[in-house]
Parts: sequence; structure tokens; C-alpha cells
Amino acid sequence: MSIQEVGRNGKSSKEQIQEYPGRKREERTKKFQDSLMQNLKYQEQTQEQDNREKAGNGARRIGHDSKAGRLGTSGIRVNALVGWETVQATEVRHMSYEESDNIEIAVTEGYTLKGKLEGRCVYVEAKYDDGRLEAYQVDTDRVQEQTQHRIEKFAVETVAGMADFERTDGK
Amino acid sequence: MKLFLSLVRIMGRGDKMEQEFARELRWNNLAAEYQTMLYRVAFANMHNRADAEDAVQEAFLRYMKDEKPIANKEHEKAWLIRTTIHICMDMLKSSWRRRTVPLTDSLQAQTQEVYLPYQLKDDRTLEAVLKLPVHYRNPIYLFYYEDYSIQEIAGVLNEKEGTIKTRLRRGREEVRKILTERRPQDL
Repeated sequence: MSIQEVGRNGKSSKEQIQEYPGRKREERTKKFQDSLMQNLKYQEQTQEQDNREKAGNGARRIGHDSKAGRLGTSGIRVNALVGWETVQATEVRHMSYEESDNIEIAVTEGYTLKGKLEGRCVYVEAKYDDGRLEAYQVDTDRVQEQTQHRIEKFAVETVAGMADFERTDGK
Repeated sequence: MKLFLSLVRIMGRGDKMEQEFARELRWNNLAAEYQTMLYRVAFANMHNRADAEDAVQEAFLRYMKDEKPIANKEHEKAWLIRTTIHICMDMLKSSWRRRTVPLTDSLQAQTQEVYLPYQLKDDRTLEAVLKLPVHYRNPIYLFYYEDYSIQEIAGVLNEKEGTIKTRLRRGREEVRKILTERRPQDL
């Protein structure tokens, strides 16, 4: 009679080894299914949220993550309430200083603003010293007179500056 | 120009004269395109017009002498800015300069010599930037006043992007310190 190595559950170690990969695969499959279900749930939730936002006022909310990057964050140090419909994120065009109608260089705040009047809107490009580059489209007709929001204020200044320029025929 | 070139050919002076003419034309275009911007960069380092002009001239001379084939316009621009800054640094380090006291006006008067392509709302900030140590001054000047991106500045100054970001942040704090210091005339 030969001696055989037996495990705790009475099975030989060879049998255990053969069983092990299958059991592991089963566990992994279960985990994968769980995470897939979680992801699907999350996707459904975010889609629902997006649909609700779209169905709302149609304007993108400042302060949310968007395709154009974070907006109204620490770069522009204002804590005022933002008019949701006046400032909208847009694609960055890499406008030069020469092309801009108005420029603001705020070294101590760590940003520069460039503005160009386009019809009744102002295209504003903001560059921050942490490397972010963001662009906004500001509807100046909807901006409140006493606004404290830096982008809105800058857009209003751009419109006023251009009106002055036209009044004096660029002299 | 075409007429001139064909005349040269007819006269039998050959390709050499044609090449000379084309080279001169290229240099003129190069100078017209970059000299103002390079002057501003040099001024930010030298703080006076004459020295800034000397530095720019020297940079152009080195470019012409080298005649290196530069891949594209952006590289050409970066090369010229980098060389101008190096020339300025050499000039500032020269023993002659260290032994002399320049006859210059106040920094406020000097900043008016910088011909920016736009109007500044606040000259005091530019004055403060020009007072910064060189490792803060150049990144800040290029980022805010020449509208360079961090990536471009890193390329021009041969530094990492992270280094430029740090210098921008620390330089900004220095500018704030300079601006909040009480000037003797304000007392």
C-alpha cells in the first residue's frame, strides 16, 4: 500500500490543483458580470441625467465638466452666481492677440482673456497658468448690468470698447 | 523681381547672383517678421533700447552665419527667441557691463519703449515683471505678453513643462509681492 498525500477536504492535492483554475474562472466571470452590471447602471443613470439637462433650459451649466473642459473654476477667481444662459462653453480656436478686439492680462491672478465681438455675442478665450485653455460664447444682451462674473464683465467691456472704437472711427 | 532675375540670367552672371538675391530677400522677410517681437523679448531682459537692439542684431547675425536648415517656422521662431535670450544673458554677465552703471531713465519710462501690438491697461504690472529674476521673467513675459503656451515656452527655454508651470506660479507670487510693496514716493 502506498502513501498518498491528502488535503484538508479529503481530496488529493492533484485533484485540488485540477479543480482550482476552473473555480477561479468562475469567480472571475461572476466579478466581471457584477462590474458590467454596475457600469450599465451607471451609464443609464448618466444618460438619464443628460437627457434631463437637455430637456431643461438647453444651456450648459457653468461649473460642470464639459467637452471644452472645466468652466468657471479656480482660474477666474470669482464666486458670484453665474447666469446659466449667458456664458456657454465652446471650442477653442487659438485666437492671437492681433486678432482679438479686447485683451486682459492678469499676471497676479494667473490668466489672460482675449475677446472678439461676433454679432451680438462675444467669443472669449481664457488661458490659465496651469496650462488650461478654455473658450466661451457670451450673449451680452442677457448679461446683467451689475454682473460680478469676470467673463461676463470682460465681454461687456469688449462690446463697449468696440462701440467706442466705431464712434471715434478708430482714431 | 522676376524681371530682375531673368535679367541676371541673361547677363550671364549665373546662379551665384541669383542665390545672393534670394538669400537677401529671405533675410529681409525674416527681419520684418520677427524683429519687433525679438526686440520686445530682448528689452524685457536688457531694460534699455540700445542693448535690446544690439542683442536682436546679434541674434540675426548668428542665424545668417549658421545658415542651418530649420525644419519649420515655429522652430525658426523658437530658435531666434532662445538665441536672443542667450545673447542677453551673455551681455548681462560680461565683466564690462558689471563694472559700469548704465545711464538710463526710470523703468516706467523704459517700459514705454516696448512696442506691444496692443494697449496695456496696467503698465505697473509690466514694470514689476521686468524687475523679476531672469528665470521667472522670461516665462512670465512670454506667457502673458507674447501669448505663448506653456508647451511652446518649454521648447524655447529648453525646460520641462512642469518647470515652466512652477516658474509661472512662483513668478506670479513675486509680481504680487513687488506690486504690494510700498514705493518710497507713496510714503
